Amino acid sequence: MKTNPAVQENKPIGAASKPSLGRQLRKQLTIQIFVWLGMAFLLVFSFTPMFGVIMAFKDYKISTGIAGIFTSEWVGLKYFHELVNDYRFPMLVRNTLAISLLKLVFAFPVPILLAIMITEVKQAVIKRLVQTFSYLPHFISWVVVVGIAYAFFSTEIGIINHALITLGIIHEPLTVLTDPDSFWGLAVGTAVWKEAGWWTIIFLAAIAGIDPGLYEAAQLDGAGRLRRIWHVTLPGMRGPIVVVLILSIGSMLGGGLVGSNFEQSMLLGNTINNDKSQIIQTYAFNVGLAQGRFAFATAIDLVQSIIAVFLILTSNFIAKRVSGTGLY
Amino acid sequence: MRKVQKGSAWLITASLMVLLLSACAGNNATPNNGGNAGETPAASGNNGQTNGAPEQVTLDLFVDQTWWPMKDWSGAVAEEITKQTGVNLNVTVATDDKQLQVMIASGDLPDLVVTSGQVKRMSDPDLSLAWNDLIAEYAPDWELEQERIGVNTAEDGNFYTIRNFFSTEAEWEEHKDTALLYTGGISVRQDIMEALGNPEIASLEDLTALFQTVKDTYPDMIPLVLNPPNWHRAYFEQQFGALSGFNDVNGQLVYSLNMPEYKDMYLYMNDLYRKGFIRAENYAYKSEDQGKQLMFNGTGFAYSWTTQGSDQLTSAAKEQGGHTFVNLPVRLTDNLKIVNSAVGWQGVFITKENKNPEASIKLMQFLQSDEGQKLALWGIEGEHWDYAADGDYPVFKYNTMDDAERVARGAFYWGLLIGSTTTEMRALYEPDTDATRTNKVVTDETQFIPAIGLVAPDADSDEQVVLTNIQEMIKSEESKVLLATSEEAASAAYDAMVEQANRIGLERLEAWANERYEQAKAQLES
Repeated sequence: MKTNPAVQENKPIGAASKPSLGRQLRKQLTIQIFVWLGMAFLLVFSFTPMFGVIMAFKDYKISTGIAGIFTSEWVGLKYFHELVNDYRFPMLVRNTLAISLLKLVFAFPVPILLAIMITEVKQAVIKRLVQTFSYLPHFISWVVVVGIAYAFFSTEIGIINHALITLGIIHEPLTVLTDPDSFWGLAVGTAVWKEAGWWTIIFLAAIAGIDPGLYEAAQLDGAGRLRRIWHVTLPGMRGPIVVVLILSIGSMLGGGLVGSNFEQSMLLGNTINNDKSQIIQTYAFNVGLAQGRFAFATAIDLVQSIIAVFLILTSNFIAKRVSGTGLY
Repeated sequence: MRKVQKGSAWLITASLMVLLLSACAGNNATPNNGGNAGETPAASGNNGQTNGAPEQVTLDLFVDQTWWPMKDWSGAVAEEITKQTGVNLNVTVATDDKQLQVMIASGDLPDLVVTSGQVKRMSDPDLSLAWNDLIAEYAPDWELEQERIGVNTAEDGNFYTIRNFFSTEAEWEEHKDTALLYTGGISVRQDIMEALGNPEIASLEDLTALFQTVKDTYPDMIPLVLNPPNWHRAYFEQQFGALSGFNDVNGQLVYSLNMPEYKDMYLYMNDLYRKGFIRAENYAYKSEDQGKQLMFNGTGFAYSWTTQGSDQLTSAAKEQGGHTFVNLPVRLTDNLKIVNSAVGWQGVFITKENKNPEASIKLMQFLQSDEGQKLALWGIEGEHWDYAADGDYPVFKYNTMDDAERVARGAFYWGLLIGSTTTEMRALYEPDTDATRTNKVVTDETQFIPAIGLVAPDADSDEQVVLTNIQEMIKSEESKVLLATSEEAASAAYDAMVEQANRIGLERLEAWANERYEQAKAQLES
């Protein structure tokens, strides 16, 4: 499928008759090899393992090896029943959806705003400094970010609590890390801090691609700075914004644009705030993988994948209707 | 130009194909290696014979412990074992904890397998040779204690291994002064105890009063720090006489959640929290270091951990803070309960693929003998250790706390293939420390109920799922009880936990456990 446009374009104009497929392939051998390797990669690493999905409907035990995936007994929807009947299920769904939605709402606009603000800064030094400092956290691992959060917010050693108490603003330390009610905010806040700068790069590239003539024209027409942003910059970024939005809705259950739902729940979650921090992925890990129940873990992830596919199809459909831009 | 391009493209494709194929082949080759490797050393064993030296056999051993530090059969101790038994081991250490299961699945097993996680699965006549048959045939002079056979007997009446980390009651009795058990304990700052006039702690009320005094006298200190994430309630469970998991109540097994004493224990711990002796954040800690740090930097007064705690904290604090710690008394109530239900940890299986069952069982016989245990666990007498003048414990000539030194001598780890806990524990004995004094009391107070240890669900069974689900549920829900703001709320949260456990299947699990318990008791008595 993918090769067709290339084939069409490379065909010498005015060729009398269509050359045979074999000759055509041989002619484009170098290009074809790249495509084949890509396809082989997808086939081996993305499509082949999918047969393992049938595990979700089977009484599979790891001791029966790979062959056991086919030979073990069918159990129908047993694992799905177990998942839905777990006392934590409503809480898991609520937390997964709430954290994902909050991240979409708050994390999506931030890089766009940041990109516009950075473009509007005229001093090159400050511009570069802001850009560097905002995307550096992307390279810090979550384990370290959680360590930093601990150093800031801990009730025992956190510098924020120390400072606030010393200044007399509060008398009891803030329990940001353990209070269940502050987990969602903590998750969204740290994720935005870590990833916003990184996504800014894409939007900065989009802004750089806007024809400067449009700005000059707008200026001549008397448009101020805000008007130029509204009428030139934002429409110029529409393509990337829609694509990134669709992608982040598709991966919403993993945290969307800023990702890392699993890492955060695993590392920032603890026995005190787990009413608000446990999500479907951590459940799949604790109850499925960590206990060697691969079939159950597969069933849990299958449910999540189906929701994700539904989300990406819906968002793409809506985006196409509204803006005319979509993934395909 | 075009030709060159074409040629290089083919070259790239070809080399990538080779790479892919070799990667696939590599996967297949791994299990085969174990099987093939066995044949070559067997041939070299024959060479030994023609040279007139004692007959030497090389057996393949798979170690199902990813952290196992002994990657090969070397060092003075290994050489000495070979000298005594004529057996060389060709060692393969697991690269991940599923490797053995996959080997079982593919039917590709080496001569010997040592495992702790797959004991039930390996105790299978299709996979392993029964030791009772092997002993009758090749080592009739090996007299194993009935107790030891009992805890290792599989459901078909045979025993396929003898696990280490178990001792008979007679062995515990024989070495009761030097082979000491440890259990949950609380260690406190000695200097502060002295400053407070060493108040006597003989009851839970005394303990509460002590924490209150510390809180009043040193308002900046945390009276009680709990070791995260394990052992935090062990000391209190013992005092209330309800241990997490199954308890023997008048001959019946009762799961801790169903015991009124267990609820009392939770309510007491909640009371400690509400009185301000424990910080809420403590329950959010995930690593031991977070708790210990509070002890080293002088913030914490008492640390709930194990009875080894006073020695370990004092020794670690030498470099940080310099405080000295002492243990609280083992017994504060009449309900005190300390149970040892150990039935062993890991065991060697002689597989059906074994090429020399005679040498294999004789190797096990040697390693289980008193001489073999001391050689493998401690080292060579005179060279690596000497007996202490007044007792039956070793004084080492090398640093046994340093793993590198043990590995270089080939000592300790091969002693974990089989052997007795008492031999292992005697190596840890240090006269006259605070922990030793506490552990002597612990050993005296301990009841031995191995039948409880035999009530373990099979891997992948429904009971296993129920049990782990209940354990997971307690782990995630208990903080609601421990951090409740009133006694009523704590009580309600506890009841909710019990209800949840019943919904998961606690009743079914208890019924199953009691059935198993009766079988286990019968098995041990026979």
